[in-house]
Amino acid sequence: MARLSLRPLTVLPLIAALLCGCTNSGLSSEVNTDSPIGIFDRAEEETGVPALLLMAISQAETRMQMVEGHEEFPGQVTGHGIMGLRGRNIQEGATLAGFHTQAAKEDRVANVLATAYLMAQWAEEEGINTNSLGAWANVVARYSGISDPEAAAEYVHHEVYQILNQGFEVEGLRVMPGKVVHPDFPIPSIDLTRSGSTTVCSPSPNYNSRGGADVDFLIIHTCEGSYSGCWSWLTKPSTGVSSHYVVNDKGTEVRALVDESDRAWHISAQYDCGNNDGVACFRDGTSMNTISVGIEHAGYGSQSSWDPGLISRSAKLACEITDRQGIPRDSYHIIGHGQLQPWNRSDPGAHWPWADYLNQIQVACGDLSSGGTTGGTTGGTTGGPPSAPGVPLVIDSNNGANDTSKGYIDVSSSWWSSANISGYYNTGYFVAATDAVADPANFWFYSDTAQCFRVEAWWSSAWDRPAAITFLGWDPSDVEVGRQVVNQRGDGSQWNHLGDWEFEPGWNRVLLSRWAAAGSYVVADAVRGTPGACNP
Amino acid sequence: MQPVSLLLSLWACGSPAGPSVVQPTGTILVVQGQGDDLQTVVYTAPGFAIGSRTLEKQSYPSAPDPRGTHSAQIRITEVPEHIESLWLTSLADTSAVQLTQAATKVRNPSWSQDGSWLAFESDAESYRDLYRINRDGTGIKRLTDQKHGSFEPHITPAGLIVFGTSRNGNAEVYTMEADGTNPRRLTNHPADDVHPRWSPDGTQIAWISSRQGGPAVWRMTSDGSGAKRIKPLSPGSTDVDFAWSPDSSRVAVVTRRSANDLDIQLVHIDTGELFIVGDPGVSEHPAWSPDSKWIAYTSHADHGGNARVMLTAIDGTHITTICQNNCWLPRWLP
Repeated sequence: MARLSLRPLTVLPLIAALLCGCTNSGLSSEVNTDSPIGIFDRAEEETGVPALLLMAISQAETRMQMVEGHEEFPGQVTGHGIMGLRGRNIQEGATLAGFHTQAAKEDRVANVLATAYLMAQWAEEEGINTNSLGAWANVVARYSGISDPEAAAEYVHHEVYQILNQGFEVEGLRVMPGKVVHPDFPIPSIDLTRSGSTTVCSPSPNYNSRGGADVDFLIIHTCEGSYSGCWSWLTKPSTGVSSHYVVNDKGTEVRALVDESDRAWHISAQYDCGNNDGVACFRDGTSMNTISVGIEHAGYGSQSSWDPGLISRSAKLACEITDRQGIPRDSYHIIGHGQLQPWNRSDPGAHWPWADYLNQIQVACGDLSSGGTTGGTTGGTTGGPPSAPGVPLVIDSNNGANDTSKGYIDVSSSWWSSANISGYYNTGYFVAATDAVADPANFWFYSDTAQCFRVEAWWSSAWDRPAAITFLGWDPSDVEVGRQVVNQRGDGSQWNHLGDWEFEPGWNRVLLSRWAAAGSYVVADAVRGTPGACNP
Repeated sequence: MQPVSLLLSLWACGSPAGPSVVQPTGTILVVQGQGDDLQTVVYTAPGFAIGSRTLEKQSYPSAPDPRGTHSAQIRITEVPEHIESLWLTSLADTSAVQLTQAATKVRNPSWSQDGSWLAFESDAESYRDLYRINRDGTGIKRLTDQKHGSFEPHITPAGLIVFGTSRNGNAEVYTMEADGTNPRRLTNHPADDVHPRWSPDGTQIAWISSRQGGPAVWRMTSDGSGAKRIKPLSPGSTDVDFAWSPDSSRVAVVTRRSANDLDIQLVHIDTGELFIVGDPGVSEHPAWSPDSKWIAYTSHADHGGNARVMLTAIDGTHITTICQNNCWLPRWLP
């Protein structure tokens, strides 16, 4: 459930530049550094490093969130700030930009500017054509700090430039270049379509035998860095660390590093019962590696949210692991790496969505037959065969599950993500308090032609939902083409027919208003449109 | 502290009954510091802030001694590896007796009502099992032996132990006798059923279950019947911790509305009356006073990341800071 904002655009000239594919032209001098876009705008103005490229790096490194890296693997430097700035780069960038080192780590503006000044210096050293986005690829690879050529190539091609080419959301706006950008960098040997969930084997030498021990639990880690940086570090012989799996930031790819039957080295504590009066000698060698499976996840423990695609993919993987290893699927056995607090079993410092994660694992394994999903859909369409008139398009409340070139959701900050009531579609839903305001959730979808759509909606029902709430259909000119009042206290966990509405070519939308008597919670979960499936 | 007349005038309409005496009594233990630089600090009534002293370094107060003279402390060492052990430390002179062997995890001790013995969980011999031990460190006995573990023991006044276990494939709530015999299953659901706690009068069990939406506090009778939520569903929120009031009338529930948004909600167990205490959105670790009229809690209201331990009457009045620099996890002894 990506939370989007509809705050007004304050840096229109920059966006215009981005949408036309230019790199440093027509920029605004009125910089709003309260806005992420404004910060990148200023960085481009001052250094010439394309704002779009900086934003794509930020997306790849931190999902554009302020992070405070903590050491996950011995010897690996950790990232800070919205850019994931790390190691010596922090001091060098801060010096170039005229900030203190601490500011470059903790202040969003200083963090972006330190990165931009550093990249600008590297661009000058390498003599690249700074007007070409593709020419910046070497600088991007250098910024990653990844030494393995294959991993660096994947970082450039499959992370930063893929994000750049596919576009991304910033403050409710979709940002992308006007044409596809090809990075001037060696192509990775593994050619992934990356359009679905993919598992890639990248064997790590950092493992040994479990010695016949049973696996008792599953440990959830965060990489404290990017996906490529993570798996490449864990496969490097000199690091002496590994994990069984690494999941990328959107859950579209899983790296398998160590066979589950072997002992990966994902927990650093080395246990020796000789240091402990001969207690628990069955744990000798390591405290927990012997009896656990570890999953690393691209990102930082300090980030405030996780991509629903990552959670969903990891949950399916966890279901498979617990099935294979006979691990109970509960919070006594699926635990966080940082969960060393002896005063409390929960992991309050982490922002990992434990409740939703465990729920998804149990649903994926069929433990919760009445669980909240429709069977683990991962794309923008239903899992079943298309209906005769046309392929139905589902617009989910989770933009990570939407093909956003065809459909997506946006909501104001009055709506929040939830998975509290089961029976929702896919990974959860947006919810908002009813009030005497429209403030709708917008389910946008693109139609090539003027045609009739059979429009349906899905929600999870509960007693505190509105008894009467309105769905509206609007064409690209904001002309109403249909409306339907529904009762969200019932009809939950199913597709409910809203109407057969005639839409026009372009971006149409189905709106769900908050306008109802105060005291209820309206749910925006999923909308399905089936072209040509209208009743005569 | 306010005089009684002023206190009465501050009671909010509809809020729980306030303290019958202005001065709370007892002793509050607080953790101060983080990581490898923390200590347990003692604050004693009246006034609490006066005469505070360090009880132990590198240990956590885990279970308040019902006799009020000692604290069951979990000591941590990180070098050469992470090791935990359970100690009984005197509040009078800080002398300490080691109760258990060290293991990588020794957690969740619970006292018998008379303070003569404790139950706890340990991974010394298995993934996690339950043990009991006498107050003087004698009579250790393993109570469970289950491949997938037993967790979080809690002892009723009659000596019955409620605990969580995954012996049937996922987390469920069980009870057993004080000697580990007669295990009895009370819950049966594929979602999590964890963190069971007896009401102090021994008539009910509250626990956290994910059987209906996200994790929420439920209650049931001692035989497992009559299970129901203690408060209505609230969209987008989950219950992460709770504490029974000593008079068994209320449960203080820590509810998380988002990653850093924690409320302490007092729920009357019979009427369902709900009242938020502490600093809304930034409070956790509720610890009840022995007379059920006050709550100590951790507040994260400082934007600089500093945590404080605060005190409030249960009607939301008389908010006082007990420990203001990097302090958290209060425990209240009689």
